[in-house]
Amino acid sequence: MIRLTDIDSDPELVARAQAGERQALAEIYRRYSVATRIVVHRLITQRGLAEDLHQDTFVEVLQRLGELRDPQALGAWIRSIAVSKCLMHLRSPWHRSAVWLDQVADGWTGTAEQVHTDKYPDAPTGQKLDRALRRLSATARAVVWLYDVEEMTHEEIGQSFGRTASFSKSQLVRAHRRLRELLDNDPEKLTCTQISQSF
Amino acid sequence: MHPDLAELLSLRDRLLSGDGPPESPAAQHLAGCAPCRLEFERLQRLRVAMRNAPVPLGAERLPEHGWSAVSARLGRRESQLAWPRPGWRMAGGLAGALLVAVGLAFFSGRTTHRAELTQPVVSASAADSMPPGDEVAALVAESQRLESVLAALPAEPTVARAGTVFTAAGLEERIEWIDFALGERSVRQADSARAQPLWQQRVDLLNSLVAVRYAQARTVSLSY
Repeated sequence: MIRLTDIDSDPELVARAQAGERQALAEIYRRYSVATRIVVHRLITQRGLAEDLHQDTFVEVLQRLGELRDPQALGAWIRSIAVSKCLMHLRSPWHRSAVWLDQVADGWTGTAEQVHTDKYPDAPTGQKLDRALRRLSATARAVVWLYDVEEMTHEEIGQSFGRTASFSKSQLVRAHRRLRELLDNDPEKLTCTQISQSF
Repeated sequence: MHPDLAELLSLRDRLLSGDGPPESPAAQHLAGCAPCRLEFERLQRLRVAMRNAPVPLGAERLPEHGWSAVSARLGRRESQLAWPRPGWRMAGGLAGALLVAVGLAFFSGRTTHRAELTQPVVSASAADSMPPGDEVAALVAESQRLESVLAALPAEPTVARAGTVFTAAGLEERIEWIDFALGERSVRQADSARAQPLWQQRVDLLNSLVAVRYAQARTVSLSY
């Protein structure tokens, strides 16, 4: 899986894009787009919304490209903008009112669509993990992904959330505890009755 | 005493970063405690598994019109920045007066019929009496004002009527096409006679979009 920070930067390309060359802007979009999509789709599980945030991220990236001082840091810079956009959405009242179950139960947070995907008993481990990640609360999922996969530090994650490093640490522990529950209690075998009992 | 999950995670990360002190109490405990060692290895495996997790559905490839959509939005912003032309200050006064009049009408709370809102904001008499360049400048100023009205409206709700969403999306799409046309060199370099109808259409569409978004915001605020 490709990460934004793994993509080799091209200072010449960045310089051309900063000068406003349309072709260079398109090339930056082409090179960094899929890795950005992975981060956004991990943090935001609603696909339509993730598409919007991905597009918003690139509009902002390309508009503010002139502010980038170190071309080598382009991947990390794009990631910070993408993460910021996603977290801004997660903090918004629209999101909070939509996912109130997260706060109530911190349990089953899946949608009807996810229930539907759970009917495949022979799903490979990767998909099981994918489902478990999607069932975490939005905050826990963001923290565990940014820390364990994107290798952001607790300080950076705390800052992104407008909180402290301790917040990130406690969310990470919480996320791992919940992941273990979800992976151990094979969610593929959950029935509708069991799901309803978890509320 | 067994280390808790936080301690195991901390130990895992210290070892991975190469800073791990193998003589720490948690590490020493791990060497002699099979269940804790299993848990520790599970955490390590989970980290690897997450990095190798399948790409989320829908994220693996670019949307068909991804770049053109981003490009159109960039073009729109650029055209807004680039278009105030010589003479716009003079027209700005006139546009300002119109702006106040339209703003008062819009925010006075009266029921405004959509047909009224889609009428050209620059009145025919005012437009007729202006030189062509000034007329375009006035439309550009009005266009910018409507953009700022849109920006001041509350963000679109996540859940909205499909009809409203499609109406707004359709208007936005038409505005983007106009922006694309306005960005063409031939239009930019030509006299304003070619640009004027496009700017007029842009203002009309923005008026409609403001009306739709305003109605949407009112519906949401009343429903709470």
